[in-house]
Amino acid sequence: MKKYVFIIITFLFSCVKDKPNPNITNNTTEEKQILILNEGAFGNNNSEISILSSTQQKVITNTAYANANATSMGDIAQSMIRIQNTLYVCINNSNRILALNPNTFELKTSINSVLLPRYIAPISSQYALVGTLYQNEIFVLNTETNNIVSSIQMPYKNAEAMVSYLAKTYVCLWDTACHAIYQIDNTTQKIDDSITIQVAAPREMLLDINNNAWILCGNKYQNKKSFLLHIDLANKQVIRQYTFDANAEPMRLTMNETKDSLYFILVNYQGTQPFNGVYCMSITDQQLANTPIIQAPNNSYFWGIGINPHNQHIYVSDPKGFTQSSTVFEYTKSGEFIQSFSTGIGSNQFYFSK
Amino acid sequence: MRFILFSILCIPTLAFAQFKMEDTLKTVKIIENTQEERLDKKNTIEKDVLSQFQFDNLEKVLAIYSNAFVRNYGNSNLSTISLRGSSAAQTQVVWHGISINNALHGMSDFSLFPTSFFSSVSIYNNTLAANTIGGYISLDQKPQLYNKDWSVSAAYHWESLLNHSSFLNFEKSNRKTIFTTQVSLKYAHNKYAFDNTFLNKRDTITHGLYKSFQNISSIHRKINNNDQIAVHVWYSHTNREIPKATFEGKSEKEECIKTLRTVVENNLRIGKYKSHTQLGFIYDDYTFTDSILQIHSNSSVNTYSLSENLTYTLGHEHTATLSATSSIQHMNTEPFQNIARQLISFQYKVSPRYNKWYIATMFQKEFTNRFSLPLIASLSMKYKVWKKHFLQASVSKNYRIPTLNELFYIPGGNEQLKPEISKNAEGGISSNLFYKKHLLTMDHTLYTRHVQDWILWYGGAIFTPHNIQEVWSRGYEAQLNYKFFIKKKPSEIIQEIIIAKSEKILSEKTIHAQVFYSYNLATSIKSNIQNDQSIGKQIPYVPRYQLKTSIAYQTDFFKADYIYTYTGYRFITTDESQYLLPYSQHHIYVSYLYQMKQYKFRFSMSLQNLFNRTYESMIGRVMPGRSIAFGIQCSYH
Repeated sequence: MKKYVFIIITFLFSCVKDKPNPNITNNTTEEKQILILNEGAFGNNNSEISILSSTQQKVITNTAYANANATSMGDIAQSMIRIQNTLYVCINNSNRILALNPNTFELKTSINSVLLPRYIAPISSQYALVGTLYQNEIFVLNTETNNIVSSIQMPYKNAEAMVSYLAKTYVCLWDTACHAIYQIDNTTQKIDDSITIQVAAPREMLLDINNNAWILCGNKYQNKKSFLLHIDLANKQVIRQYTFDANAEPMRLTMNETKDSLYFILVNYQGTQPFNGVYCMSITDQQLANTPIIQAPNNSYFWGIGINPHNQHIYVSDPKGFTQSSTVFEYTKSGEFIQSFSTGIGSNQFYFSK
Repeated sequence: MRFILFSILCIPTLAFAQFKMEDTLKTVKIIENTQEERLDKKNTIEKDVLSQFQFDNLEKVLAIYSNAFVRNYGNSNLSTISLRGSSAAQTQVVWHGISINNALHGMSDFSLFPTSFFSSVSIYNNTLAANTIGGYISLDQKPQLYNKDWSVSAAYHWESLLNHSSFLNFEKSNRKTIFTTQVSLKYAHNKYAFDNTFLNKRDTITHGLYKSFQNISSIHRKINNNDQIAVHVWYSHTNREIPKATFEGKSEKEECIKTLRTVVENNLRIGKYKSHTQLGFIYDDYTFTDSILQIHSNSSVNTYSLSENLTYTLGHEHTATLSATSSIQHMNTEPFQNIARQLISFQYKVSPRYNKWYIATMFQKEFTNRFSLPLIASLSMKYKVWKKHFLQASVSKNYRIPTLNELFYIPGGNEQLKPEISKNAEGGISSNLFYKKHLLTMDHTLYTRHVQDWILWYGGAIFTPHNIQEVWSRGYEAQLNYKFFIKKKPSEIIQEIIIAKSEKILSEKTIHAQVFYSYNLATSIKSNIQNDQSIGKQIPYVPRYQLKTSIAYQTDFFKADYIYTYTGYRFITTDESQYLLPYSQHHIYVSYLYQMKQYKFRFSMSLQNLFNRTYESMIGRVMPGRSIAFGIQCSYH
């Protein structure tokens, strides 16, 4: 009997070593890169940047920031944007904005004076606006000194999308009480006008080839139905209003390189159908797309989307519940699967080098 | 000879048995069904251990004196446990026979359970009770004697983290009635410095205030020798701040937790029948505020339960128990949903005192207003191989139904969830070796547990529970207990055990060493997610390896413990891509009892995290470095 017990125990002990495999440090000098922002899982301090090689068709690294700085990036990387020679990353739950060298990913400086930063939008060669959650403020960042120099009081909280056009910046305030798009003068850095809309909670905005704005509105969990608005910024009139199904939750409004097609994701957190996948429509369509060009995998949903400007390929990420590495899928323009990559936790944004 | 052997087998049980603290020697009965009771009881933390931690909450005790892994979100903050790789909601915590897990999220927070309230804590790893995929933990209070007696004690404790705690006990009894009450007060700043590797600076926990008031009271009334009634009430009100994690810029999170638990029970014996009736009511109220995120949420739930256990005893060897329980959990806040449950179970135990086999079996069927549940059953056996060496084995099937939050939480609740179903098997050897002044008890267990439809919360902006995984937990656990009686002759020890005198005698001048070792592989083996990279990987926050050791020197008036614990790697992600480093800790606990007539003064000192190691139980939640604490307790009896 003792012999058998000994064999069983020996077998068990020989199964798994406790020490995990170390992360592999990869070369980050690839020229044609696709940067992928991995927001991480909330409360796990595991946001990162992945680098995907366009030419070699492989992931170079999923820990670009840690490789360069030997520390973690923070908790919930909401967005990244390259402004001149700096890559800015908003780390939402760590209350900081990282200014990185876009080639080496080494930290230049960390801006720690903004609570819950979400998105950054440049408004001039010297300034950018920083939106935040739960505050009626937009902060003005001096991109030369990387200091917050002032703030703009807004009528509502949750400044999300900010788009500049003809010396004005149009701001979406994702507040269920908000029924307008606010216009900020880039020179005076003050609100000087607004566009009234009939629906609540504007959140995402893009400009098309005609410089008309496309705006996603709504908040399903605050009982505000979702809409897509098409607005003429010149005369500040709503051209068309598209209504989503009450069960649909649209996000990640994206344009192709020619700015004549819109892409967005419908998210179903239960991982079931319908309203779960990537949808595409022309800017001239009279109705919303009914069927996805890419269906989300069963028991999951998509979280990030990017259109490669070089070949119009669609990149979408499956965050797999934010509990493990995401899978990024590459599809052709028409939605045919090409390949997939394993990236970091909660991949949410793609940046394609020119 | 058999009688002596039997007595030797009883040593560990008696050593840990529940005695009334007395100075004068009293003869008490050897506890009934000693062998049968050990059939499914795996680990009991007794009063002499708990008394060293009487100013702490239970999470500290469980982290040292059991094979449980304690997931700790910071000092005085949420502390849940994992038994053999279980999730927190899979382990039930039982007080006076009723489950006290929070009905909303299904978990028990051990940082809210004052150690001083309990005389023993029993950890059952195998699953012979309903809804206990991950075993259950029984919080036991001191058994009472109907004597004319009274006592009072008060205690105060200071810790260098700027933490204060105190408790007050009062007990009064006569031949018909026993009344006990205890008040626990804690006011803790939990202020400590640590190296913040994320911010690359020396950081301090500041937003960690913990204020708690708790009262636990019982009244026992003996109607006659065969009929007793008891009422137990436990009220708890805790306010605590949640400090920022290392990677957070700031935290203004606070929570207020209010709980009222009441149990009314009646024990009636008529001939060979025993009836145990219980009526339970639990009110849980939880408020969370975060002024940064502008969140203020409140939820509360009522749980009502009524159970009847009818036991028939045939001789000393056979007992059959028929149980029926009805309960309802009702949300008092939106979305005002409920779960109603009715279950019936049958247990049969054979525990022949001098034969080689000990058997217990159970069948249970439950009906709910939400789910269709399978018939479950369990079988446990114990076989005396030779003298004091036993083989034990058990198989069981069990389930856990989703909690109210898992079903209805707004946003994210998933009403399509199915119950988790588990199949369990375990086998082991237990031995008791007694040689001269040395007593060694050993328990070795190999186990396997397969859980279907494992519920996992996941998501980004919105967290939603899913039945996505099949998880296989298997491993090995060892528990070693060694006692060296310094002064006594073996014959004296045996004599004392046979007579079963007070705890004081058994503990006189001993060296006592304990070892807990666990090796646990808990891996997901099937998933509904495409390209799931978690298959074959360890589930998050379940260490593969744990080692806990303690050595104590104890006399009538003095006790010193040296404790060492090691916790292995824990993964943060399901694909093992990120993990926390192992950590080890050293602690010293010392206490001294001074007696002056009817007054007793107990002085205690502890030095925790002796080597000032920086470690995290959960990511970003750095635990305190070295700290010192002093306590004094004054009793009058």
